[in-house]
Amino acid sequence: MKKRNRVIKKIFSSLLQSLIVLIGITFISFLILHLSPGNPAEIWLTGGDGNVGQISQEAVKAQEEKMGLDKPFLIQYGMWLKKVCYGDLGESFTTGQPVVSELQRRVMPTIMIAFVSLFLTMLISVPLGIGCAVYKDRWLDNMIRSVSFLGISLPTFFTSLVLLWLFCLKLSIFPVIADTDVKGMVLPVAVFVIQCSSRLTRQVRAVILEQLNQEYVKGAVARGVKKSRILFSHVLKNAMIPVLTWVSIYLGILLGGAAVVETIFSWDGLGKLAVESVARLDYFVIQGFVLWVALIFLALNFLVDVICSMIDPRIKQD
Amino acid sequence: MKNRMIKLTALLMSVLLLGTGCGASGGDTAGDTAVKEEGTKEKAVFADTQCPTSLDLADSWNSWYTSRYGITETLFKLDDTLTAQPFLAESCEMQDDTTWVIKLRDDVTFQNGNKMTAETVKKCWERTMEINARLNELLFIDSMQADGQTLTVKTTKAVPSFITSLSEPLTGIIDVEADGDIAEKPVGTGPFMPVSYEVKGTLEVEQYTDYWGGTPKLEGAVFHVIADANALAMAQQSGESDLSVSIPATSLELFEKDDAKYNVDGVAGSRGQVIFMNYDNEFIQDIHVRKAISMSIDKESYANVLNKGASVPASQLYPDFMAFGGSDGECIEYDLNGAKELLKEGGYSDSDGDGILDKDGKNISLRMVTYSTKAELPNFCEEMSSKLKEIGIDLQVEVYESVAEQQKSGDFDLMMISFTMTPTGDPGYFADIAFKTDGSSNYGHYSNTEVDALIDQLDSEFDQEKRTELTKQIQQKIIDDAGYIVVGHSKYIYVMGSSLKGLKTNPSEYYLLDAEVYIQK
Repeated sequence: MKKRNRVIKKIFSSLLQSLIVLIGITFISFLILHLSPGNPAEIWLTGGDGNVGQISQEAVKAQEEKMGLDKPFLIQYGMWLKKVCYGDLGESFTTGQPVVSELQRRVMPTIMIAFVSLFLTMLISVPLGIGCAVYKDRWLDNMIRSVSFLGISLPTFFTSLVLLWLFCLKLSIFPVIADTDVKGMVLPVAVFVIQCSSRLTRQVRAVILEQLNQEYVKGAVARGVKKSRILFSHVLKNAMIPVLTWVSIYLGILLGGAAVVETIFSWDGLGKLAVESVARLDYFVIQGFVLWVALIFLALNFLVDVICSMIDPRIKQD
Repeated sequence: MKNRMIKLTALLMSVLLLGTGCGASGGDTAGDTAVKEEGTKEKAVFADTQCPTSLDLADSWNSWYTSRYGITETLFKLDDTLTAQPFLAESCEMQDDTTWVIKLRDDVTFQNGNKMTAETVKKCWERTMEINARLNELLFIDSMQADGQTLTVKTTKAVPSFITSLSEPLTGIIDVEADGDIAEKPVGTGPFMPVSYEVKGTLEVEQYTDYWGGTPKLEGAVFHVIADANALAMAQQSGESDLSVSIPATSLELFEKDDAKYNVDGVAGSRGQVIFMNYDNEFIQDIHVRKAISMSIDKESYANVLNKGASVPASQLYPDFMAFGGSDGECIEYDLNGAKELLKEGGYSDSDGDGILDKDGKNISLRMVTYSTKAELPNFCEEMSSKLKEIGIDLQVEVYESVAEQQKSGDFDLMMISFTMTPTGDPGYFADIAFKTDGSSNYGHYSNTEVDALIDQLDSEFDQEKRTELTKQIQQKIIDDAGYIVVGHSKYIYVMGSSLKGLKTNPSEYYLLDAEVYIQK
C-alpha cells in the first residue's frame, strides 16, 4: 500500500513538473515572439516584403483586431492557453487553417524520416562503435574514425546538395521533385544517417572503451571469462544506458524536424513548417510546434527513465 | 529482460513499417500525375521557390499567384510597357472625379459556366474588401451599382490611378457564390482551373475549355514549390521542370550556355534596388556627401557583373522602359574622381590621415542596412562600401533577415531594399509613399517642398501625358537633390526547357501561365 502510494505520488509529481515545464516553455516562446521585430498583421497585408509603407496604419490596426493582436500580451497568452486546454491550438495567420490540422499534416513525414533514420543509425553505429572499441587504434578503428570525422564536419546543406546532384542529376536514380513517399525519403534519410551515425559511432566507441577499462572487466578477464561473453553480457548492458540517452536526444531532434534538409528535398515536415511560420511570424503555428517539441522531449525523457530502470534496477531505487 | 528488449525492437519496427507504409499510400499526388504525363508532355511542370498560403485571392498577396497560375484575371491587364489595357472590361470611363463607369465584356464566363456580370464583379469586390483592406487602398470604393454588364463605381476621393489599379491581381474576379472552398478551388475566369491543391505545396490545374479567349493550348499544368534555389536549378537541369521561376542570378550561367536545351528569358520590371538615405544624419544632410555617394556607384557593373545581368541599371529612379522613366533626363554618372573633388569642395579632408575624410573633427562614417532574402542586395552594399572607401567615406554594412524594424525606427544612415516601384504601372504610388514628405515609406525623411507640390498635382491629374510630364519633373528634382538612389531594376527571369513555347515575359510580376503557352512535341 505504502509502495503504491509512493508510485502514485511520484507519477503525480512528474506530471505536475511536466505541466510547469510546458507552461514555462510556451510562455517564454510566446514572449520571444512578441518581442521579436515585425508584426504578423503587417506581414499578412504586405506579404512580408518589407514594403510596410504601402498599407495604412488603419488597415494594419483592423488586421490586428481580426487576428486578436490588439489585446495585451498576457490576455493573448491566456486565451491561447485556455484554448489549448480544450485541444484547440488556434488558427494559422497565414493559411487560416486550424494549427492542429497543419501540424497533423506535417508530423507524419517527420516521424517517418525520424524513425527510419534512427533505426539505420543504430544499425550502423552500434556494431561499428563496438568494433572500433574492441580494435582500438587498429586500421578498422582509424578508418571509421576518419570517416565519422568527415561525416560530422560536413554541414547538412552541403551533404544534401551533393546527394541531390549525384543521385538526381548525374545518376538519375531519384527525382529532384520527389513526393512525400518512400522514394522521396531515401535521400533525406541518407543525410540524417550520415550525420547521426558519424556522431553515434564515436559515442558508442567511447562508452565501450570506458567500460572495457572498468575493474569488473579486468576481474572477469582474470577469472578466464571469454572475451565475447564479457563484451556481450556485461559491457554492452552497462553501455546501453548512455547510448539510450543519446539515441533519445537524436530522436527528439529528428522529431522536431530539420529545416535545412526538409527545405532542400522539398519534404513537407515539421522543420520546414517551423521555418515558414517564423518567417511570417505565424504565432500560433510556432506555439504549436514548440508545444510538440516540448512534449516529445518530456515523453522521451520519461521513456528513457523507464527503460534505464529496467536495465539497471539501481536507477529505479533512486 | 530479453523479452522486454524483443518487445521494444518489435515496437520500433512496427512504427517504422507504419511510417513507411503511410508514406507509400499517401504519395499519389499531383507530382505523380506530372511524371506520368511526362511521356505525352501535354501538361507543363512549373517550379518556383515561392507559393501562396491558399488559393483565396482575397487573402494576403495570394492574388498574385492565382493570376500567375492562370486561374484569376483582372478587368485590365498590363502590357509590355506596364500600361493598363482593357481585359475582362471593354472600357472604363471617368464620369466625374469620383465616378467611374466600367463596361464589362459580354462573353466572359466563370470556370463553372456562369456568366461574369457587373453584379458578380460587385459581389466579388465586396467580399475582397471585407477580407483585405488593401483593395480599398487601391480603388477607394465608396459604393457600386451594377446594371447588366455595366458597373458604376463611386470612389471616396479622386483616384487618378483607378484604371491602372484595375490590373492589380487583388481586383481579380472570382464567382463568390460558386460551390466549394475558395481557398482550395476558387472559380475564376482564367484559362486554367484548379484540380488539386496542397496548402503551400503542389497545385495542379487543368484547361478551362470554354475560356473566353479560346481553348488553352496546354491541357494542364502542375506547379511545384521548391524552396531551395539550388534544388530548383537541379530540377530544371534534370528536365523535371519545364519552367523555373526565381532561379538565382548565380545559376543562370548554367542555362544560358546551353541554349539548345534551355531558354532563359527575362525582362526588367519595376522592382528597383532602392537606397533610402536618412536625413537625420548630419553628413547625409549635406548634398556634397549625397552626390558623392551617388557618383561612386557604377550601376552598369552592378547590374551586369555583380548581378550577372539579372537586373538593368537605372538612369534615374523609375524604370527606363516606362514612359516616365529617366532615360532622357540628367543623371548622376559614375565618377570616383569627381566624387572626391565634390567632397573636397564640401570642406572634407583627411586631417588625421586615417584614410577617412572628416569635417569638424568627425569622420564620415555611415551605417548601411539591408536584408539577405534578395541575394543581390548584400553584394551591392559590399561593393558600395569598397568604392566609398576609395573616396574616403567609411561605410559599415549590416545585413538582416528583415529591415522592418529599421524602417520604423529610422535606425540607419543608408538602407538598400528591393521595392516594386510601379506595381500597376502608375508612378503616383511610389511618389506618394516614398518621395512625399509625409509618405508612409519615406523612411529617411526626405523632404522637398517643390517635390511635394508636384506630387500633389500628380495626385489630382487624370491626363496621362500630363502625369508623365509631372513624374519626370519630380524625378529630375530628386536626382538634382541626390535625394534617392535607384541602383537598377530587377528582371523577372524564367528558365524554360526549349520545348515550352508561347510564354510571353512581362515586366510585371502578375503573369505567367496563359492560354497561349504550349509544349512543342
